[in-house]
Amino acid sequence: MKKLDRRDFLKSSSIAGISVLSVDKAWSLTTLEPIQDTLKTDYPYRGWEDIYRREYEHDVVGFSAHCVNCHGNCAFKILARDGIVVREEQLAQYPQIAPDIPDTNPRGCQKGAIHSQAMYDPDRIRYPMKRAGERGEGKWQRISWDQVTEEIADKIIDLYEAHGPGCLATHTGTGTVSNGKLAAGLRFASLLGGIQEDSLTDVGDGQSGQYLAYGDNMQNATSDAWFGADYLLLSYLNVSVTRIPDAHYVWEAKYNGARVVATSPDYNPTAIHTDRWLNIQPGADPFLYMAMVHTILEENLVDEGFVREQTDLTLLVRDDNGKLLREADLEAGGKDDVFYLWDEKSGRAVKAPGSTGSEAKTLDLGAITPALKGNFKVGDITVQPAYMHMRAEAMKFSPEATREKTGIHPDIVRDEARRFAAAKKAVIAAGFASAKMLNGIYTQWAQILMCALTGHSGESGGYWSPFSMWGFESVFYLGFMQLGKTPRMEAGGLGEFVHGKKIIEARAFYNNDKLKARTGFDVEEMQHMIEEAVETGQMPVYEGLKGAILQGDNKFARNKGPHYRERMLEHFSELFVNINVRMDSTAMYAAYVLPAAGHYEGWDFRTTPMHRFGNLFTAPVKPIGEAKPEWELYVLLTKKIQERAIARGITAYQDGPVTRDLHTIHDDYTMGGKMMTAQQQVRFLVENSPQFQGQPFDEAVNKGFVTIGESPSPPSAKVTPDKPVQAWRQQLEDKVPYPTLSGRITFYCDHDWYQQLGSTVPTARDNAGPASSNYPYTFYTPHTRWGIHTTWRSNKYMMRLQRGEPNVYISPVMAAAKGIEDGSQVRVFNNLGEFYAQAKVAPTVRDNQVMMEHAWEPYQMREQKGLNHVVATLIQPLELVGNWGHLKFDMYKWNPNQLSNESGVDIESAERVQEA
Amino acid sequence: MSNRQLAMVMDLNKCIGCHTCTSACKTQWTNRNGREYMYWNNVETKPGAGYPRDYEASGGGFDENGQLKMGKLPSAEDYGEPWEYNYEEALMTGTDPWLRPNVKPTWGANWDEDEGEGDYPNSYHFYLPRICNHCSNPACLAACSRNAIYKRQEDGIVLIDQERCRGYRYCVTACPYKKVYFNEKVSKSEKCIFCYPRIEKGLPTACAQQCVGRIRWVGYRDDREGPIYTLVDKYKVALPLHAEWGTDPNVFYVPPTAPDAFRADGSPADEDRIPLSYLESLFGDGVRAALDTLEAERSKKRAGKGSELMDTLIAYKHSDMFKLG
Repeated sequence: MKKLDRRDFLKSSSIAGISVLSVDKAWSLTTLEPIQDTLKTDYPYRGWEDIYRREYEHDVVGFSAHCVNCHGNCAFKILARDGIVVREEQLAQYPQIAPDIPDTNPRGCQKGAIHSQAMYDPDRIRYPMKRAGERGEGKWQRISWDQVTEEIADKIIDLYEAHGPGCLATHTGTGTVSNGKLAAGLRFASLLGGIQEDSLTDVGDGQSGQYLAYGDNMQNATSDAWFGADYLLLSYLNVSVTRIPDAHYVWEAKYNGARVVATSPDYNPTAIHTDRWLNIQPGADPFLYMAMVHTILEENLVDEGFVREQTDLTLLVRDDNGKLLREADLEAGGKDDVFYLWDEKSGRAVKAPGSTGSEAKTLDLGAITPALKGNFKVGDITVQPAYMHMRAEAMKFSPEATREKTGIHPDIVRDEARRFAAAKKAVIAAGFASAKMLNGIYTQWAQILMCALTGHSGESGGYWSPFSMWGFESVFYLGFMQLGKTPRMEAGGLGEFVHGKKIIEARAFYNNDKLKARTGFDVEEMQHMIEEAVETGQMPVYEGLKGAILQGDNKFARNKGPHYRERMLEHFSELFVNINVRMDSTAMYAAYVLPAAGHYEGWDFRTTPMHRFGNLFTAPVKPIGEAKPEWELYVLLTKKIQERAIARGITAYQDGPVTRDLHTIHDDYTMGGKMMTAQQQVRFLVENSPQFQGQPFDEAVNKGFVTIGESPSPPSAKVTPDKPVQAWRQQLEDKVPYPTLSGRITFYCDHDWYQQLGSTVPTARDNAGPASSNYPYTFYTPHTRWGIHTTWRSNKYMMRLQRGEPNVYISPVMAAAKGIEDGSQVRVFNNLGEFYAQAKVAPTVRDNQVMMEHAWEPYQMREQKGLNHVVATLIQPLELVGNWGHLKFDMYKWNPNQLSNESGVDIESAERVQEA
Repeated sequence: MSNRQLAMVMDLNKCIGCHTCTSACKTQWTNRNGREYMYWNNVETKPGAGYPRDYEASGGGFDENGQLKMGKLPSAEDYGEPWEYNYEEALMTGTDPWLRPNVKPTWGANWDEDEGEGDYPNSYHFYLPRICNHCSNPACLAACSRNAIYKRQEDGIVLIDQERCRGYRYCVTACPYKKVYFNEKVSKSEKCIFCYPRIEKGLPTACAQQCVGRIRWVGYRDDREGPIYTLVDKYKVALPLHAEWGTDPNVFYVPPTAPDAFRADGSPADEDRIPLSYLESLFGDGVRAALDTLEAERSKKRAGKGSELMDTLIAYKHSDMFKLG
């Protein structure tokens, strides 16, 4: 747009120089019909109004949601004119499930609401492209689908001929988690035996404390369940920013009488609406929750019935070695997964029902009244219930003792703990940021202990995190089960750490003495445990990578440290293909970029943990350029692989118990030609989801969504049509054991490493953070409202509502101390690297925080130095354990997270640095 | 006054600052035809300079005697430049070193997002979404020397006749809310039209229909069964912005609450985080009573009793937030 001319404005201002005008319009310049009173009488010339009416004209051409890693999953109708999408609008047709629960309309957010503009942006990938310049230089050559698939097919075969299966990453990341796109990528990976990392822990979303306690991090309530709570504690959950379509349930719960409390170091957009904001010191969260546990125990606010039945706190622990008392300790040939309780009635130790080794598959204690307290003797072995250990540990963390760490006044801690315990339905809702902290596992474990001690579970609340796998049965069926083979499943955050050699930055950044004092381990001890976990196969990591085919994984934007990209490009030296809708910071470095169809251009299907509806993407418009939906893209690629394999005389590669059959890969992928289109794939996914059976596909397509009915999945949820989904109802109501070693909620882990790290029961540990380094400030990168990670992050409509370029938040105190002006350029640095950004000075952040909303594309930043240039990271050793009951490698559930917020930085004005 | 008057209530306790309204309006009306810089709907962080910058100090409206006051014209920078990006050059042809705006950003429509005032940990801010107030006594209308601005008698929507307007911009300066914009490309002034093409089809405005925080109610002032009457007239919890400017707005706001402030030792101070005087400077003398009513009605809910006010604000059905009949 041309600049508005200031002089023009001044000119017209002088026309309007009379500062007070009469309301009387005697001097009207009317030359047509005299217009007397435009306020109170009908205006005579309204024919012009058609101008705006014409602008409103459009066709509704179909439905879509937005398949990105946000879990919003919001049905939109797509509005077009002459085949071009002009805008989109939330469908807002989801039925209300019960009159006393607000409906979930009109789910959506500002990003989805401008996607019609973003989809045509010049960063859109329209054609297959081959790198024409240096890696990352941004020079491309357009080539045909035929040529690109032939070149890739031959390179895959070359790789397999040279190295066999196992050298190729075929990874579907969190950018494409709709059921169609995900199943497409997984099926391709399964046939090739490529490496699929755990995309959940790749991005630090694995709720490890939740998995440790419950044996499953995928059992969670829908967001409408928040509404019925009378106490809501939001932890690492900036719901107004990261759960935009669901946030209303929190603020409506408040009007419904609920008390809403949130923790966050900064006065964030969620804190502003709460009843109480807990302004916690960065990384001090486990101390706060242990202090609340302390209050609950000290004031005897414990629901003993719940604790006895639902938790493992009744299990007997040996005094001599701190191990759980096992059947193998007492009986020759006894099992090591059968445990004991002390029955107060009979005054003897009895086997606990419900454990993995127990024949009694129930939590029901029958006539047993298990002791929580006391010292007992079983044979020669002296024992105590785990409860005693839990209690002794919690007693170390009084509100007074933790006050300095947390910065929270003891009166507040006690007040909130009491209210939490007294509530009819209390929910601790935890965001994914919790899992991105080194001590997130401690935070979550203590929070779940709070819930268990007070009996908050199922209908009465409990712990909530943002993930479940609604409707994924058909994804996994299509992705693995129907084929009888899987990709090489790899630990996520750990795989990234090992392949990217992040230990180099960890060693360079952390002071080992400081780190060990804070966390209980130093970098070398951590590295030793990593090596042991990998070498013993507890956590699978595949060395010998030679190439990658990546879909929905902007790994060069996300991963930590300044040299990750170079190291990975060495691994991808022989083949690097990126399947993408837009040129992101990872596609920039690929050898081949394949254009994927966008949300409004291809058939797809999406379910989400946040609500019970599955959305249809009905391909309202044709793909832009030569883009293709992922399914059809792989159909084409496998066709070429099969052709080239046959032409080159390649047959099957034996790969462990299965074969990788490149010569039939297309026939296998398409079920013998029966599933050639994305629409056929989507129909299959919907019709084969147990939750949606009985809902005709064609009807769903006309409506835009399907509704999860009464079905057993997720197994513990007991979904009913007129109530929000609640986790763990089967355990509470039907006494079905939890998927844990003991069959109960786990608060005692006697694994050697847990003992070594003093973490057999919930406790508090510091995070690493700047205090483990030589840099003064926390570098905190919470999720932004302006993108879903890097998606839409560089869109101009979103950028115009920010500051046009990446910015960091600092406090006025820090700004004054460092001589930094609001709006000026700053350099953020440590010994690992540096980046430049604009300073935004706000009294919402702490004086010790440099806060930068996450996921700027590195290419949006000066010299393409992304924010992760200054980020060192660690692996939480407790998450490495893969040989203790339910603590075993489990895809999307249990393996170590990539951590985001464990670095420290310094900052200075960069105004003198010359603009390039 | 028109025969009937449409109105909107926005609940600042539910507004999450997500700008879905802004984006809905942008794609509906202002992403084209010289309107690119305009935000007929914007969301600003208060306290803050707002959009356009410092509009509250830009004058306009009416004095105590009902005399129209002309104000200042905001500059292009006060609105914020609709900057463009070098996607092609940075990403597709490798001719620019990185992606950046074509002008150095110095101000924008949401520049002071999430800043507010006060000292940590007692700083405070909230979101204030704004559209044209479709005033009962519009200063823009009074100022238009062409008589090209009128109120539709059937719904009270204030419109600028795009054929009659000559772009003198008296309306821009006279509107104290600075919700009239000059379109340089067509040399006419334009503004929020309360989505009359949608209203005429029985649909609420795009900003209200798409508001995912569910903070906006739309209806007629004279509908005693409707949500506007309940919130504005019956319970008096929804108040106009800057009523002292004399234009008699038809957009009303439920004023925000905030968590208690802290004492120096970290204990709860049991005092308002947002100074009452600040809220009163925006929403007038009725703020205290409105906040008290909200708390009293919420207490009823807490005690397990019914509350018509809370149920209205909860909005059990999205579609019930709009009563356009």
